[in-house]
Amino acid sequence: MKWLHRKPEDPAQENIPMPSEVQPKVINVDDPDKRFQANPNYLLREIGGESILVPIGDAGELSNSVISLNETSSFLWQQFQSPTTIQEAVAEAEKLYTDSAGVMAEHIKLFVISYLKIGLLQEV
Amino acid sequence: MVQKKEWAIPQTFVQQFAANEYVAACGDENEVYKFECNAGGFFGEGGTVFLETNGEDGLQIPGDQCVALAGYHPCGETHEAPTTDEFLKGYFKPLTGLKFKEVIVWRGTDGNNVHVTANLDMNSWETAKS
Repeated sequence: MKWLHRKPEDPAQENIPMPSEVQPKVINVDDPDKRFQANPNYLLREIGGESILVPIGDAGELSNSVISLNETSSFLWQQFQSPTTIQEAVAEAEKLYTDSAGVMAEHIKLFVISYLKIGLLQEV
Repeated sequence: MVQKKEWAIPQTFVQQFAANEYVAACGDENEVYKFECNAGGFFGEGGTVFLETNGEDGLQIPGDQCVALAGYHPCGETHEAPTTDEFLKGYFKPLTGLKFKEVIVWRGTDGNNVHVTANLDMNSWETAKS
């Protein structure tokens, strides 16, 4: 008996319910107790006055990358070296920075979401 | 007292180097791999095929991209796959059983099919001139 290939199926067209196991991952950062930690496969180094994340070990798709951080990104990266909540990171940032525009907390939340998406941060 | 600085939006710049995944040597343009479509379950049955897309080694569900939802069957044929095509790291999960195994996926001449081999040693693949 000869098995034939089938083209990848489109569940929507074939009315096959997409199992939950292949649904896109939902990142929930709204849980105030949720802790996040920097991916240990990246090391922060100061090179030529710039903060650079150096991929080491199994750094995944960014292993061939140079990742440079501005001052606040570098600050946040250091905060997440141990499991930290967003609120704790905000509290530490408030000690060092003024936030006249009232955007710091939102920026930090977006930082966490972005870094989770590209694997620089991990949920703990 | 430490003078506080004004907060600035965190910015990250990623400069990715394009890896020389394949450097064609003279004459390789017309070379093909004899790609054996042989990845199957214990009973030779088909299953689901995922591509390693999330950068984290091993199969993660969700995370890695499903390209054949229970729709792949090994045909046992040997396809002529241009050596310049992409051969993708993936995982095969048989219809029966829970264990997945690492495979190499070739998307076919049109780039939309799913051919899978369990032979991960590309250096051992037979080649021929097309």
